[in-house]
Amino acid sequence: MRRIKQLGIWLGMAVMLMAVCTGCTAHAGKEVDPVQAAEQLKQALEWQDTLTRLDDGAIALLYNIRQEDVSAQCVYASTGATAEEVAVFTATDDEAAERILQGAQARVTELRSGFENYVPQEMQKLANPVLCVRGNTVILCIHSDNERALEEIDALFQ
Amino acid sequence: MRMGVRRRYERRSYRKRYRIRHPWRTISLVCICALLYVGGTVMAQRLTKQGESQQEKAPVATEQPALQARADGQTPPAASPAATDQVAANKNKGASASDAQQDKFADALFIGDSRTEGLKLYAGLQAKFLTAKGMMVNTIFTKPAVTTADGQKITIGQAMAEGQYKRVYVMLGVNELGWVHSDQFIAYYTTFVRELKQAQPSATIYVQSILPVTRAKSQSSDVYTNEKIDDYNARIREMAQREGVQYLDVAQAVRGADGALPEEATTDGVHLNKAYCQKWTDFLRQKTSR
Repeated sequence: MRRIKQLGIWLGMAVMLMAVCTGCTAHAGKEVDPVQAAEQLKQALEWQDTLTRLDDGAIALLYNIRQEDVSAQCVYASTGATAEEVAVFTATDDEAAERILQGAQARVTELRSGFENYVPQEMQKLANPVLCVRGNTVILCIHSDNERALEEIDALFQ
Repeated sequence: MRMGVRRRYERRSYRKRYRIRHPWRTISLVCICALLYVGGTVMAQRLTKQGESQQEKAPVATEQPALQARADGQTPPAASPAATDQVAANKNKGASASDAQQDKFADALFIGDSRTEGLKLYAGLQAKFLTAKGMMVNTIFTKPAVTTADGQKITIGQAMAEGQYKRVYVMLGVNELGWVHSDQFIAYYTTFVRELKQAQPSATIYVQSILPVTRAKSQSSDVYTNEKIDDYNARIREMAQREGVQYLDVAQAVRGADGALPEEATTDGVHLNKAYCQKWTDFLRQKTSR
């Protein structure tokens, strides 16, 4: 009886260990193409404004990030009527991803400053926008439905 | 009581025997624990990172001023020697139509509100932009809207004196449509233009007309009406003549047959999409490129 009990405990521990390892690889292993990812988010979510893809020069104007930190990028921005935006960056390494993340946070701060006295209702989208790092990919999605946006982002990495 | 002591003794001696008789089990247990610890640590780090990423750092936001735009240090300096040489070269050989089409406004400064921000993003110009959402003729000297390279916040009025440009394009007025006294609007605008002339003595200054809004917007709003815009534009034109600067009726580049901004140009009736920003740029090239 004691042996069966111990076997059960080991088995449980082994299952837990396997689960932890699988979780790590599922997130860190998959890489996404920023252009396809941004396009998919643009298509999958309903947007109030017209989103237009920015060229690299315009991205540099909005995001204060070092070009050597980015291996690929894609940003869709609004006309200025709303704060809606999708940005996907592939960083060259983990540290670069952290710097890009900070650049994206600064972009959100800038948008908040711009909209708070201009179109205050946009502050709802800017209160807690989805900004995440998956492996070396940094994603910012400013949308009215964060839960839905996060679901779509999760789907990109499955 | 004695039975309890005996049981504890038996348990201890069993554990001792167990360790001696089955050392591989102990080793495996230690290995599994170590693996679990490593796996758990990695997972915890990932979760912490994601958690931090997904929540905004509110205290940072509260430290920011109400209006902020970047100094756009990444854009090539408008009056850089290369740009100046290019303009000079164009002048010497006589600018052709194809030269005008190639004009990226590298020697130009654009000043304006959120509509000019759209131009900054979608026109693909290499100009310097000093823009901010909600910018007005009275706040241009008071609201810190530009972040300099060293992180300081300055007003557009201060920033426009940095660097010298060949051409300066200004568009302001749509955010002032709700003002009770349009005289006040023109008085502030005049003050701004005079300051701009002092800051950019060798530049050609173009004051652009306010772009129209859509018919739906005009009919549904007491503030953003095309009648008011036409009235303001007439007064801006007079002011430009008085102050000796160029007036550009850019509204004609985006106006539909009914005089309003077409619905296809915008989502909110005010801000232009990329296609219409390009119409605006084409007009500027046609009228002002050298």
